[in-house]
Amino acid sequence: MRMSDGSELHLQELRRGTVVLACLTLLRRPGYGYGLLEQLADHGFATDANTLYPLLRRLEKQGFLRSEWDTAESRPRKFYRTSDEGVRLAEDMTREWSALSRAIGSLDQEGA
Amino acid sequence: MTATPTERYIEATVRRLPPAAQDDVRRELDASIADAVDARIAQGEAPDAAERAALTELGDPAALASGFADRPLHLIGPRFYLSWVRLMKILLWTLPPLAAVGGAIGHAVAGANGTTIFAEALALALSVAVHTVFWTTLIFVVIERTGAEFPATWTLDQLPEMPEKDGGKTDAIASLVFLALAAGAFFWDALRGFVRVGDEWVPALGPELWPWWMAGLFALMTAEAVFVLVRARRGRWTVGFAIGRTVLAGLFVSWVATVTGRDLLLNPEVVALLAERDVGGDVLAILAIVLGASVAAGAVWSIVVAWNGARRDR
Repeated sequence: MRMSDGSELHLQELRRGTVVLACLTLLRRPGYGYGLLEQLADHGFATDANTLYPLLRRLEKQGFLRSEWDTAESRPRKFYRTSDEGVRLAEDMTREWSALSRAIGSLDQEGA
Repeated sequence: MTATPTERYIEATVRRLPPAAQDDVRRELDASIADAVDARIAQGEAPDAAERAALTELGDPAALASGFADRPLHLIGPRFYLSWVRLMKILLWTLPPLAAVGGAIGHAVAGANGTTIFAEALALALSVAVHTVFWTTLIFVVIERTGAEFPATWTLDQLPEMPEKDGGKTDAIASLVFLALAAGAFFWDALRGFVRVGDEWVPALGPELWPWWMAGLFALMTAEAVFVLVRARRGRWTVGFAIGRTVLAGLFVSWVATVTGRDLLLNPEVVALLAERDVGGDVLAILAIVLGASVAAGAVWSIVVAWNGARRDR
């Protein structure tokens, strides 16, 4: 079944923000731009490159990610790692997500 | 050697960024694009096609740069848009009309003909409107991009009044009182006179206005009285009422313009008296122009109110 534009928009709205949580969680182990893009896709968080790269920079600027250049290999890469502050944010977001999930579940009971 | 698409893409992105961030983004983007191209080649794509596809996927470099620099992709965002609209409405309803009236008066005083006055007033109003829109918008764009705080919180005090709660009854009463006073004043002026010349009272208005010009004016005033009564009875504006208001206002403006233009408005005795006191024809001409402009402005205002009402009450 093809989604209408309207419902696709609502789903996007719901997914927004989950990419941040996914990044903060995955980057507890250091990762770089393109590698993270593939990891996210594997986990079911399909993200556009032009959304992810600016997002990583923004999270770094806000102090939730730390970065380091790895120049040991032939292709120098910027590695990101979740900061302590980022770990706390990820925990808060996970809690919020579970709370929302329970809340949505309670809606369902009432509706049935 | 010509630059590769990747080099051109990175250059187009990076040059839109603040200098401090350029080098870092350049190196990171270089690696990311190379990774994406390699992944595509590994899946069997030709190198050229892989590069093109990877860059196409990244999209417009300007949009990507805005993402990196955290710049908005709009001129004025939701935080300031309503303030912008409100300010724009106030400014555009006041400044261009004021400029038009001022310009018209200026050219009329300078003795320009009707076409010139109209054209110059219109041109001035247009140019003031363009400047108003441009500079106000520019300020908002700067505010949007500097992230300045702005007192844009809405409070209950900003709620507009209900449009014409009493359906125009107050307006009607005010109009009738004014019309009655005006009629009384005209008769008093004709019978007893308002201006003292020597030992006697003489009329301020020109005697040649009577009877026919004044009859016309009284007919207009009667029509106006009937109009406001009927409208108040109906309790709202309609397109018909708006047309009626436009016709009445237009007739009144032509009446004033005609009697002023034919030098019928003032009693020659009064003009002579003013001349004795060094108030010459040039001053009277200017006063006539200002009177004409005020009457025209009032008429335009009443027409705008009527059509606005007709649109709202539909």
